[in-house]
Amino acid sequence: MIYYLLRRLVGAVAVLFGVVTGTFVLSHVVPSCPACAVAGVRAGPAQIAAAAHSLGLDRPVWEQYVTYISGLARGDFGISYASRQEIGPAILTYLPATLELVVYSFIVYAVLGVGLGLVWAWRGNRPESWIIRLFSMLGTALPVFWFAMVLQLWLGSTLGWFPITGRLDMDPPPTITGFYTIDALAAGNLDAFGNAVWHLALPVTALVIWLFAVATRLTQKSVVEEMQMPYVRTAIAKGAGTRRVLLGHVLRNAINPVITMLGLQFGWLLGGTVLVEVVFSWPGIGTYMFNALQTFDFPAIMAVTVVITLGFVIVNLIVDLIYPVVDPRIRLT
Amino acid sequence: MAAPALGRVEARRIELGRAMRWWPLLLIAVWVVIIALPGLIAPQNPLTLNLANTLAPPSGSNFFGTDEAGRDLWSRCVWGVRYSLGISIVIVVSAAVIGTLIGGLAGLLRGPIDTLLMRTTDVFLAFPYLILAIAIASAVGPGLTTVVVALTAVWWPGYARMVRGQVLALKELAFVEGARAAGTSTPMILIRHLLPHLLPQLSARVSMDVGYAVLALTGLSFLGLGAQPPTPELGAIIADARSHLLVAWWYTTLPGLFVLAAVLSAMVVNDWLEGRNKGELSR
Amino acid sequence: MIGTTVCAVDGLTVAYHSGGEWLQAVREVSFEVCSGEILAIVGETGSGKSTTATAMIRMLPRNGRVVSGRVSFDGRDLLALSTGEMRRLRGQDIAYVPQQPMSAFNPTMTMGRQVAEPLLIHRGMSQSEAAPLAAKRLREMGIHEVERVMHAYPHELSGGMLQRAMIATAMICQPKLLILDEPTSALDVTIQRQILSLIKEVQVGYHLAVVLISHDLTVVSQVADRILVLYGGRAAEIGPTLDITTRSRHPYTRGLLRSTLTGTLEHKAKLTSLAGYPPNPLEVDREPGCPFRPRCHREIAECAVAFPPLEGEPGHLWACYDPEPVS
Repeated sequence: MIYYLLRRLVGAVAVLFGVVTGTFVLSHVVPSCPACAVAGVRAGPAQIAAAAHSLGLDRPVWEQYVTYISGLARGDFGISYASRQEIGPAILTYLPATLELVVYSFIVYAVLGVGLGLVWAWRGNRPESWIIRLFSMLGTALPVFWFAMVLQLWLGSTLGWFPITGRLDMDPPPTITGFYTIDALAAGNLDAFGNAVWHLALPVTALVIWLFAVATRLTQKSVVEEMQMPYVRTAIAKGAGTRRVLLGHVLRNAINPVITMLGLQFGWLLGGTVLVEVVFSWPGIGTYMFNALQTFDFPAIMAVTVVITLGFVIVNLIVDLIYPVVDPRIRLT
Repeated sequence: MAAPALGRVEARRIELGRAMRWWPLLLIAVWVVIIALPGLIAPQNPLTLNLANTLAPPSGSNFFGTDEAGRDLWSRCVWGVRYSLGISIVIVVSAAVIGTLIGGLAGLLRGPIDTLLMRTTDVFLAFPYLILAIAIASAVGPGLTTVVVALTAVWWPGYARMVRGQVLALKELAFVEGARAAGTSTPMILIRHLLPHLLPQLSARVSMDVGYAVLALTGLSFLGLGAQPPTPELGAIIADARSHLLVAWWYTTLPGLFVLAAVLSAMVVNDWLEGRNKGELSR
Repeated sequence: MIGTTVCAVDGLTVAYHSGGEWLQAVREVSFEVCSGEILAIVGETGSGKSTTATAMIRMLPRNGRVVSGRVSFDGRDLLALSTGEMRRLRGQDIAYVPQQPMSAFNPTMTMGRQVAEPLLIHRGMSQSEAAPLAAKRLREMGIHEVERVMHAYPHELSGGMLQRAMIATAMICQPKLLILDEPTSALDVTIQRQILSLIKEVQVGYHLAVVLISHDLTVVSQVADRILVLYGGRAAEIGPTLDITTRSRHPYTRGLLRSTLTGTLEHKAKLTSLAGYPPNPLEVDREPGCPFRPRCHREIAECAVAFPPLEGEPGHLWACYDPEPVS
């Protein structure tokens, strides 16, 4: 088992290395003239050369690469072209907002997706299943940014049920985690808690509706296949009801592919979060990246890419590490 | 014999199922018409400005209303969905071709080439797909070609993995050995002998991915990385609608329906293809 | 000592929906089983023996239906009970041991939890309360390293141990009726004997009514008190074991006996096999008369007209117009 864990860890590190190399290639090798962006549109050759020198862009490529890697290892993401500020601390300020959105969306989506999949599998061909099937098809087909805007317009503006932008209408609670919901509860501030949840409602809904279908479908398929297994008959012969059969026996055997898929879909969630943040003016790294895109701020764009991808790699690593816990068959091999 | 007869509801359902088997083709035909002859359903010019009629709600002359430059939204959407679907198909097919070649060669050749190709694939797959597309598109510079390149780069690894897996399974079969013994070169083995077996799954996946590519494409355009104005592209149109969110509900709401329709059609075709594949397997 | 009737099956007819048609797998089968006896149901593949058992406890697959009949247990018709009432009986009053113990257990759950499960379902116990009882049962069924087995996973145990554990699970709530579906078919010959004697011990010890399903007449004749022989979904012959093995009247039963190895074989005695093949359910459905006709050497005119009624001596019945003479 230890070998399994070690191999996964080493694999993750190797992949990360590939990722930062990839971003280096994208940011230093691909663009035709990064220095031009810095120097500005009306710069002459001398100014461009000066800009290039100040950014270290006239050094040999491999030297730039080493600088890049060692910088990242130290947490130094470089300087933003646009703001001339350090990128690292900027990302750090924006990160908690995104994390809060991502974490809540993921939890709601996983619970809803798997739950609906179970209901669908249990209910077979009855009307509830058709409804679930229809809605899940619709959900995946939505462009998430459009749907977010539709929610914003109709539920937020026209009906006035939810706020249209931002995270909070009042002063934020003292920072412990950066999650307004948790920090508000910790400070005993129920007003702020409620307000934070209220602001989270629409963005989370947009993301969840877009994502849940894949989890639902896979759970349903996996459960239905597992229900054909002989041990299900044994359980029924013991007098077990549907709930015990599904939750006590089938789910733990069927969950494996579902966990893999949840991990992979986290990548979708991350991409979708960028779009949703833009729509709701949510002060997270998605918005930060969007602003960087408007100004062609390469270092910032790449820095966000690395950070988000790092998150994705970590999640997939956790998924790999969870397998033995959930499935005793893997534990024993 | 006192055996229960097949219920009438069940019998009707089977009949309906048989009749409905071919309607996805009808759907494809409809979309082909829209792409090839947009003028048929959208007679107005999507680029014509009409500053006297900006941000007008839907009416008899403008089904979807007009945008901030007075352009007919319905026409812009029809033209836009042509781009979205057409380009998505190009992206996915290219990705499928590249991925098949790479995955197929990796599977057939094994050894260090396989490892190299698969490690590269792993690195690509380590990125959340939209983030990678954004990174590539921003590095190359915005534009429709960039988006094609970026999304193709994002999509090919999935195909490479899938094809490699299938090739690994297929190469154990006798006909591959026979081809090798006859002196066929590796690429020829892949193309001539293995491809027919790969096609059903590939085409099913391509149809599904076209839907997802439309979503990704419109997403990138929404962020400003895709088609540049005044080209009507659905994502860009929706992005423009943001500034007028509260005053022009049609501008925001209606274009998305086109995207939805395109993606749903892709999913329907995919369902149909997968159904046929399963049917063939069980024969 | 044979006691009261625990379960009586009367005119059971079961059909399956397959390929757009309904095929009858079991036709008007009737029998009784009393406490303190083992009734064996014997037949080839497709004879309807497993279907009969699963129909009794209402565990037919989705495409199966009981067309007619009655299954009385404890004064109630099992086929008329609600799902909830039936569930309460299963595992508690009526226990069913499924085929192939190697695959019948959940691979990701420890044996201890699976053996104790009926107690959790029916007696509302917690796992810690039920575990000692489960351990006791396992020991009773002849498992020695009980602690190890309780914490083991199914794939760590042998077929024989798994079958013992399965029987322990079935007995844990002390049911009145025990149904075993091919309990020895997947096991080695020596283990078969052990399991059969275990079944006999359990039956005697708890004064159970036991229904034992098998395709092997010689194996069951070692422990069964009465035997029901099925062919083509119909009862061919039913009677005490001694009668069936030494004084059988139905040509099919005779054929089965003659084609199997028994302990007493004369030197160079020939094994005669039954001619022909087991019936195709589709054909059996369509043709009236006795399904054994194609393979029977004693066929007479009436055999093609209608299925022969079950008649004979008290306790020993057969369905044949021209039964074998007593040898």
